[in-house]
Amino acid sequence: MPPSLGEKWLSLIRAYGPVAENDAQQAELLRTVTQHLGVPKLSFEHPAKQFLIECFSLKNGAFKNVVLTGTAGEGKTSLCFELVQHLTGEPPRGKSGVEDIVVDTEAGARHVKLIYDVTAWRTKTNGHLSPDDVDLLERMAESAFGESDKFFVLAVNDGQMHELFRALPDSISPILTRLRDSLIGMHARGERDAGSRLHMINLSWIPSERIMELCLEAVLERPEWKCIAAEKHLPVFSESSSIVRNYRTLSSPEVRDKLLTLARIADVTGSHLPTRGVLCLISNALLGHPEAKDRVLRPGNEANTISIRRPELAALHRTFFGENLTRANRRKRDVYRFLSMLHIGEETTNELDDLLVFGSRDRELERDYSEVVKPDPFKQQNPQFEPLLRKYIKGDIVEEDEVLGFLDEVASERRRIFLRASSEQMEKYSLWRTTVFHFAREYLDELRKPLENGRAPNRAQVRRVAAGLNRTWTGMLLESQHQVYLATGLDLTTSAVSDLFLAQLDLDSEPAGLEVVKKDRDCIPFVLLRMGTNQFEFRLTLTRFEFLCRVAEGAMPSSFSKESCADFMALKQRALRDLKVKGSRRALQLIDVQTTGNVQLHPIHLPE
Amino acid sequence: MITAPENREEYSGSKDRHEAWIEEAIWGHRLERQPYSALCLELLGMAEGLHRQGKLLTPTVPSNTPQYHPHRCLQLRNILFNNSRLEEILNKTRGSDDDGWKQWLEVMKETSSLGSGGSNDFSYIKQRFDSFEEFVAMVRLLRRITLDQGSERTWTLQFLFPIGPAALYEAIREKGDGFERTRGVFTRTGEIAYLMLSRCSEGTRARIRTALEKWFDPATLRNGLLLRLLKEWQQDANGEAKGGTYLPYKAHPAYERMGSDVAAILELNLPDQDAYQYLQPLVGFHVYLYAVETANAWAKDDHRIPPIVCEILAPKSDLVRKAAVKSYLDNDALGSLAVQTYVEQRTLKDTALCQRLSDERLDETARKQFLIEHVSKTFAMKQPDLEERMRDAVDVKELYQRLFNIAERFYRSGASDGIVSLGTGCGLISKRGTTRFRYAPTDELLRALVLANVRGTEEETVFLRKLHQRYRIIIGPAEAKRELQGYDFDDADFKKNRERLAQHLLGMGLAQRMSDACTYIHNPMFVET
Repeated sequence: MPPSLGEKWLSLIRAYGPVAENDAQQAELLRTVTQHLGVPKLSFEHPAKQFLIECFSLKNGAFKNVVLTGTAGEGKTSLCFELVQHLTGEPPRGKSGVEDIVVDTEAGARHVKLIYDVTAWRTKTNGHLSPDDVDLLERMAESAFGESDKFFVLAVNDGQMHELFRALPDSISPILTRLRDSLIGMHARGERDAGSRLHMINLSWIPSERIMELCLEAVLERPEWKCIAAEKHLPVFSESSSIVRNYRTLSSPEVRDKLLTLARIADVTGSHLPTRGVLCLISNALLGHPEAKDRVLRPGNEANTISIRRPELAALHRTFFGENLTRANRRKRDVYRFLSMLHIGEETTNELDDLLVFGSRDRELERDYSEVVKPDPFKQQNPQFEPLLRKYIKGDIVEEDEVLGFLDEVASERRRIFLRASSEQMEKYSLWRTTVFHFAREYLDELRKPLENGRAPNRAQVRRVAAGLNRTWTGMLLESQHQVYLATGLDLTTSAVSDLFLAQLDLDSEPAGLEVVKKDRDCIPFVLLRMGTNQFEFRLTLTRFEFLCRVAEGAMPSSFSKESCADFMALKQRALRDLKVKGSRRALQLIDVQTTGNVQLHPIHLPE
Repeated sequence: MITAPENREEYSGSKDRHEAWIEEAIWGHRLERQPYSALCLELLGMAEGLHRQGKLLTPTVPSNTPQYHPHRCLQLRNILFNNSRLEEILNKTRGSDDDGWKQWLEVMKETSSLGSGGSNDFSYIKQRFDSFEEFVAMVRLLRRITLDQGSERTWTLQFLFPIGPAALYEAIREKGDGFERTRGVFTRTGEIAYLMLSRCSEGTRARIRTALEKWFDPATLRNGLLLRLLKEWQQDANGEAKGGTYLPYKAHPAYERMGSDVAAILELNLPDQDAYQYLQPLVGFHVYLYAVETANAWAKDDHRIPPIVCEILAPKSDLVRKAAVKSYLDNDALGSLAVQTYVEQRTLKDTALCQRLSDERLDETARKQFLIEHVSKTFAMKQPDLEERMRDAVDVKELYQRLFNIAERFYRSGASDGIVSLGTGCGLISKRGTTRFRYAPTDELLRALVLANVRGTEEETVFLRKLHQRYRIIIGPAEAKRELQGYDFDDADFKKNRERLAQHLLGMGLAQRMSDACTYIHNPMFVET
């Protein structure tokens, strides 16, 4: 029987999922589905398209040489095609990944050479780039730093870009050296322009949050979903199908919003989620099933039988995290590595566990239970959980395997609650505490959000940063949140206990000794320390903020995270160096922390 | 060529006090186990001594080792480490400053140890502090920077973090009424490290000299804390000169390699002596590399560092760990082989000796006697001892065998142990997570390598290639594929190893990940000068 429209649609979604071994296989899979089944690909206008088009002003002919970079699957080639269409009004016809076009502008004709498949374009001889290719790059360099009316667009993965430069012969012209160094420098530092004729667009700069938003829209808002109503006679589109349940769950505002928040977390921890990864995530969240042959349901017989057999095994809070996939498959993909780094559901609070275990049995907990645990409109909860819970309460779970199995189920429940909780519930039930980032809400809502909106961040959170810095940088339990104490050990600046006072920065002075600020287009806030005319700043990633909050609460810096502690020690070294902090030459001032946590300074006088 | 005769010079000092001179001829006099903290301290002590003579990092040659006069700083050491009743006196006399001083000065008169001619009068201290309590606070503060706290070494072998030149003094032991120099803590390995630096290029030496001169400035605030406890510091270094350390090679790739890394760290312009924490692992690492590179040159006539496969601590055993264990064992074995080769070269392959031994006019006893005399002279072994050890050897062949065994034994208890302790001390070699030694660098060593090698930002591949080119360190698949046999190499395992490195460096703020195909290694301390 030929596939129904709905099944064709599912086949398309599946082609984006974690079923292909590599990029080429995925491209082939997509081609087959789109060509044979006639379902248009998932698409959206890339946020970078505007930046690209702005580099080619048809009005004054002031073109730029552009290097379009990013990870594989970000849509570089599509953007090049769209540029050709925009500039010439005709579809691209490039061969071997290269295309030459002539563009009429009001200032005269301009030649543009686009290289959108570097692997197909470049040729190597004896491990080095061929002379023709070197020549082309040299012409690009001449255009970038000169006045030629020939321009170049080079679309290249960031890894490939380095490979390309590594393959240059040992001796290259100074201008090509300049191009190479400029591009590597721009890429590493996140800069966009080198002069007026060389521009870099790194697609990884597009926030993951925006990518997630576009991808969710591109999948969930396609008209093809009407198949659920139109083809409900097929088991796969019935209400007991895991796919339908997952679609409904994913479409609910809370879950959609949560996915955006998670993408935001990726942005503020420095883990970019590329388009291909996000689509893979969404595809698997919808179609994943541990009992399917490839662990992702294939429309047809398989989907019709398996999707309704035990849909709870494929509930969204399982498939979203890739639970249905093999460990090796998950590990291969950055996006799952990112999610597993969050440890969602693996940490907890007593309050939440009380609700999970006793919520349905304890009257006092009943209200909260019905608000946060009980609601399960799309039947995502494992029906076996309740019997398991009964067994646990009776004390019948004793064997190690059973205990581990039970703990897994509880963690899974926490993930279910986490995904569908509203932002109010996240705050009320401290649900970020079920993840590795206990202070994510404070970071996102009270620091980052006001900064993004041009307002000052919440003062309590800034003070928290100060408290964390004091704790880490002095190694002592200072209570002070209104000053940052700069101190050193007698031996090293980074001594675990640094109690020789050097200077203090007041949060309330004018200008403030410590501020959390937004810089340019960076989505991560900066901590700015000021002393006199000197400044020192560092990016306050969520990871760093979390560390500061935890130590401010009393965790031992080096035992909470050795790496973060080392990171902050290096920051301290740089801060003392760059702020040009010098202690008094008249006395050494020993910091004494009193039982109240207040600071007292004891001087030891030095000879005149 | 490291081992070429024209690149070596004989030791000019007396070998009488040595049981043998074999490993010394290969690696120098000498590489021996010492507390790891002593390595850099000994290096700095020598540098400081020569700085006072205006000879800091002037070039040296193997046959003429510079001599210097180390400080003893006895008053300072008595106050800090031979003054156990200080706190008790403070507690008993609280409220009366005069009583405190009086009692303490009396106790010091009785218990301090300053050798013959030294005065037990510490009353100068009283003039220098506002109160007894302030003095005690200062002593407490300085005691906190004692190195290897809890080591239970005697007071004359306690050392301070080098906050200034007055913290650099020699290791001594009490003997009779006075003191004698001991080589138990400063075993000369730190002096070897100094000599390595003194044989770098002029440019590199100048860079290091500029930075170290600041460290040796007695007028800094921190050094002032120490000087306050010393009556006269300048007069303190008039004792017996120290010297006699021997580094056999005029030129060696290890010298410049070490020098440029030390210079790079010193030029980061870190506050006070913060660079010390990065120099500590690096100096040991470079002396270790010198040792294995030299062994490789003698043992295999291969004048490069042998491959060093590094496991970035993995949760479970994989091919990287196996390769790391194997490369460690291979390199460890090079030492014995080097000793054997050296002994062979000076005996079995000595044409004059062989000709003499094949003289048919000599009977077996005469041959044996001739060989014993040759061995005694060549390897500075005492002839009576040697005769005793060789007495019942039946022929020359057995004599050779015994000689190899003796050489091996000396090596195992001397340089071999010293080399391993350098490798473990610097954080290159460890048993973490297993029961066997292998190359598994610590985060501290990795950080020091990043700080020494990366100017600003560098792509991960370039960084890994640099580690390989400079130190023959193998972490990622590209280098592993080039260096390892097929059965030792697994692309996936080495990729994971590289990934773990990136994760560690990310966590320490030393890397920035752009995508799964591109990571930048970042030296946050670097400033363009």
